[in-house]
Amino acid sequence: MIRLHSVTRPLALAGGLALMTAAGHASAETRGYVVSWFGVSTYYGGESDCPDGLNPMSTEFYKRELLRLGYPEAEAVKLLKDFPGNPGQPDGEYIKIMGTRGDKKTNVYAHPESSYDPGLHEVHGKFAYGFNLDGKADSPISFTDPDTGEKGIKNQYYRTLGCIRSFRAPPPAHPTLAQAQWDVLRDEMPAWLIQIDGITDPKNSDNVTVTITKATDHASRDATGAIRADMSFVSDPDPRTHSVLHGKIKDGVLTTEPADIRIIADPFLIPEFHWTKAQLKLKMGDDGSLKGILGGYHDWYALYWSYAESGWVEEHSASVDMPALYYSLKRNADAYPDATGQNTAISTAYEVEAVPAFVLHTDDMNDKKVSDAGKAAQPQQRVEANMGGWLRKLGW
Amino acid sequence: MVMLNKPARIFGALGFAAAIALAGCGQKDDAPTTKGGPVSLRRLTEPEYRQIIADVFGTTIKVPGRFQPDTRDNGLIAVGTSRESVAGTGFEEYDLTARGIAAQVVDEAHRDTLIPCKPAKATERDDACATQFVTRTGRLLFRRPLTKDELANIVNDAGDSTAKLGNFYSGIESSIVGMLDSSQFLFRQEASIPDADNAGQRKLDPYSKASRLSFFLWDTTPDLDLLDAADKGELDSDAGVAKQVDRMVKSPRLASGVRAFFTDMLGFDGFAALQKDPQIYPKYGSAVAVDAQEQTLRTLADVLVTQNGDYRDIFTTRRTYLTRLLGSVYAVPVKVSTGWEAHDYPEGDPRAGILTEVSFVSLHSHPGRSSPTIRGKALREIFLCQKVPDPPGNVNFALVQDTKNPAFHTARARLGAHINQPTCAGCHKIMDPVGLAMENFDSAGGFRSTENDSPIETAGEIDGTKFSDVNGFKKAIHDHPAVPTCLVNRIYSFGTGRPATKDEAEWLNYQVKQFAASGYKVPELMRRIAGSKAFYRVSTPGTEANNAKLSMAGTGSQKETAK
Repeated sequence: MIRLHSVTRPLALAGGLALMTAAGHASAETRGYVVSWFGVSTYYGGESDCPDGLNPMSTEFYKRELLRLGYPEAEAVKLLKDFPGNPGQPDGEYIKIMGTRGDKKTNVYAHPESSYDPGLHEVHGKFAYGFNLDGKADSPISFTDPDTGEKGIKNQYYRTLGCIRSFRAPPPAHPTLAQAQWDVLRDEMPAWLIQIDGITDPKNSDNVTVTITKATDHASRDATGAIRADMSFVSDPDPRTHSVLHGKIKDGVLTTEPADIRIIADPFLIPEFHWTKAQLKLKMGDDGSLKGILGGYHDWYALYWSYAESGWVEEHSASVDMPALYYSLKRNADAYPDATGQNTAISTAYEVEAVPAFVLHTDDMNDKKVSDAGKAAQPQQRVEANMGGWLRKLGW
Repeated sequence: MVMLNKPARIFGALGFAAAIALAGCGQKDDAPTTKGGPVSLRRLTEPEYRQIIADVFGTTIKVPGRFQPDTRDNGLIAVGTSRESVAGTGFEEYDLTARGIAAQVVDEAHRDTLIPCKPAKATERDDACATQFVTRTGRLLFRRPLTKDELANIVNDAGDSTAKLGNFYSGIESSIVGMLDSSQFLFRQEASIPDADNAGQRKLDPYSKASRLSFFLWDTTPDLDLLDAADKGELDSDAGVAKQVDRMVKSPRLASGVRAFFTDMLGFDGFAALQKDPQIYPKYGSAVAVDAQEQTLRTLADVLVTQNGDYRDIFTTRRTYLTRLLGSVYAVPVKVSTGWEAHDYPEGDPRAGILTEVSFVSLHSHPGRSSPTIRGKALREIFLCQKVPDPPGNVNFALVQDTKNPAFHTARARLGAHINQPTCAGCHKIMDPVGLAMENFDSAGGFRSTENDSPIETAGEIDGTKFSDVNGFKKAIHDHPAVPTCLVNRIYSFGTGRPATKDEAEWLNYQVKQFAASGYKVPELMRRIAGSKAFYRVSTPGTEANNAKLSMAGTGSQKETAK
């Protein structure tokens, strides 16, 4: 039988179904979730976010670069007009020019410092989501949480990205790039799971343990295209995929103490997230869902490379001027300085949403009750079901 | 007279256990005699067609396309197929399918396995080789040996095709298409012969017996053993039939026959057109619909075949089978990432039994809301063989359709107001209490304890038995006397392809008693029916006028319009 303490079910159902939940724990409940949305948190406050204006679209900064590289206006316009591969028009030349616009035709994505700093318009608004990661309420880089009014929020990653068009969207819409990335990731990579142990009261629990893990299975979608709720997943037994956090639930909001969080992701986005001094702040919805923020410091170059590795593709489609991004991240990094004084990490925040799921562990899997009756009943499983059927039995 | 010692003597060499098993066959017992019914001409259903191809040619031969839809009559497609013809467009579909099958049979991956000989020259006709292939394949497809004329014509056509196309295998391909397009394949054509033991009476001929047996017990064309038995005249005797019935009932393939019967009885063909509003029921989709049907069939196969349990336990069994997809609908953990897993609900769980599985509650609901009326009607018609009249044409359904009416939070409240209309009350009193018992399950099979924040009450009464909740309701159905009676009627009609006649009522009542005496074991019921003389008896011409349908047998031909 499944051991109840390791089967997690977040939503206590009424009536007899409550028997199927982790109801064996009168004093402490365990709930499980599968992450249904994950994307960089970019607060949308309108024009006040970006007093310097939004960053140019790729066609605009590509033309700027072509002119800088000495292409005549007419040729630059023609190259842009031919792009992206209109019928009969070669686009390879254009891509090559943009990819090697560093000094001495260096690959500008792999070696961004071969380029000058084109300058990225950054966020200068007052509000952002995240955490007060350094404990300083009034530092110059601090934001204010727009919902709670908490001061001292550090989110330099948002400061860097927040004026790029593909990172902006008025709620409830998600920014284009984050949505596109998640749409691919959730189908391509094993699901991310959250397990909360020690819940004595879903609204107020003083001491809970939160484990973030990777599943061995992919999430599936429901009829609306959203992540299907109440599915079963097996947690990857590899301890490198587990991040254990301690926290509490107060007034239905889960918060955790600072700790490292590692999440194995996918090279399409980033092979692995690794936040330090990371925290969670997740509201536990009455519908059994989780919704909130994961924040912490992250190696800024790894984040840069998560965009730059695709080179021209993401630069063009998401209008992310890669050298400008590189210099902005480097400039806004705010923690863990190296020997030269250059900060190696940047404060970040990500939106996290999750829906109820059953989180199973490998030691639950030893007593699989696969249906013998079902096997016998399967129409496909015929004695003569192999190639040839009854003709074969005639013996020629 | 019951002569239990006689079969024991006849089959003494088989050992005591086998003799007991065979005691139900041959039925030298006190079963009332019948005059039989008319022979049937039944168009193959799509599942039957697909299964025959898999059995004859192997499962690597794919059956492309879809067929002309079947119709339901007297609660069963099996009966509806006796009223079917093939329309022009339907024949085009059959022909396209046949061509797709034939091309695979003769392709290089299959020809050496499926064609018993090689032509002397691949570019020339080889009638000897073609005759070998057509003789053997035609016997399996036509469910009898080909006549000399049939064989000669098919072989000759194959030869002509070879000559025109310059390829022996193209000729064979043409012969396969010809056989698959033939009415001899597409229709189960029964024929009768005089019953030598009963002067003036008729019975099915041996090959018709073989087909009736095979489709009834295994849901497919007769296998080689059964055809051989027909060839040798063994099916002319009770003992010969009993031997084959015993072999087939003991086979794991009996589960296929049980599954086919319940697929028909439960109306799973309705899933082809079933839709749910994804915004209201995001967990429901086509994959869930497929799994839901399979879940119920596995549950039935487990109770009825694997456990050889009491038929009535299908309404209360706590054992079911789940995929992860279904687990998400039921909010139950499922360990296997792919495939099926047995699951036992705890004692008292409201999901026990097939009536609250997704297949039943979703099939008998509206796209955006449940329907106690439709569910109640379905339960009475499917499991109790009770005919519920269609609603009058001028009924105002506005009240029951308004699920957000602030004055009526629950379906019970809405229906309570609706049945105040005198023209509606009579039928709703029959249907609604039954359907309201299942209101804890929404239109997609999800569990709920409230509707519009109001608690759902499931207490009610069915035919004099009161119940306090859905489990009490299932117990009431379990113990309802019409449940086994209905099953016996249905399963007999499924096998014969026609409603029972008035003349057969006494015999059916006898079978109901035997069914009860056996502990409501469905395999034993199928054995008794398949081994009975009544199953093969054919009414003599001119007596059909006496063979009016039993009134209790009808359900499914009427259009579903209840709200």
